Amino acid sequence: MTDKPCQHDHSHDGMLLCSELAQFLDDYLDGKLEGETLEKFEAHLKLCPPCVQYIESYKSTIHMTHKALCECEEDEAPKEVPEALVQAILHSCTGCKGEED
Amino acid sequence: MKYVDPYIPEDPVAEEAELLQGLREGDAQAFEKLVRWHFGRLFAVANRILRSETDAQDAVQEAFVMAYRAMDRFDGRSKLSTWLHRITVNAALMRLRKIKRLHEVSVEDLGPKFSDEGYRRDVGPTWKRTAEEDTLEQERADQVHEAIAQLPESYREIIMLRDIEQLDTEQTAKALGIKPGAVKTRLHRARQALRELLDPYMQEAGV
Ligand SMILES: [Zn+2]
Repeated sequence: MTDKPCQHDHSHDGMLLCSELAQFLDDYLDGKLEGETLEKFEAHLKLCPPCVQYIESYKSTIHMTHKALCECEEDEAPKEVPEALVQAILHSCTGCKGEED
Repeated sequence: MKYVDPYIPEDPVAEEAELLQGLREGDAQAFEKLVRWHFGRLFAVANRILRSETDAQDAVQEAFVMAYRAMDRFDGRSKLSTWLHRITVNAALMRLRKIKRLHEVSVEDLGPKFSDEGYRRDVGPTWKRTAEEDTLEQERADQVHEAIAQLPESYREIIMLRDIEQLDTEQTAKALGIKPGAVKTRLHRARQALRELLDPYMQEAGV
């Protein structure tokens, strides 16, 4: 981790702070940010490489999560079903039927 | 173990509607058809997370039992197969947590870090690995699964509703009984925490 904070001058009026960016980030990535907020958001990114880098890694995180959780392609699935397991599943379900609250 | 052919309906859409009606009426045959139809795909999902056929079989069994018990609460907002997929992923992740002895993380501890003046201080070296690289796809998927398995349930749940069931903010809010603003905050914190958990791995130089 770097200890060097971003170096641009946040002091002039209306400039978003790095810490204020988070609340708009998901809307920005969804393309839902508009008007003045979008302008301010993009103005910050132009001046702040750490935030640009952060957003890149945040985007990668979303992409990787999505990919890791997606539904498998049909051809990954085994072509046959183990009968004993099917029976075990059916047994534990009909068995649990009476326990319902 | 004896293996048999799966059940493959000719018209999946019509069959799903029919099965759903049967399931809601407690028809045991409808449930058996559902198991024989979706077993293979759900097994593949669990095996992709657990990388062990035995554990994957256990996770699928667990998932079907959970689905059976929760059938009354299935509201049809997504396909039955997608709903089963989410339940299976969750069962597999919980099993992964146990097997790998992963500990639940505190999402608060994994928040972004800023200086008192509001400057970002949490960005280390650029991620050398990319989300696209194919060579280590399995290894990277393992890292992501472990990271998600470490999230507290409410954060894991919101990631799965968004990424698997693809619900939007409003739908997620309705499903969880919370305000849309709270959905956005929780989702952002979950993603931020995942970013932090993946950070050390993603910074390593690729091969
Ligand atoms: Zn910044």
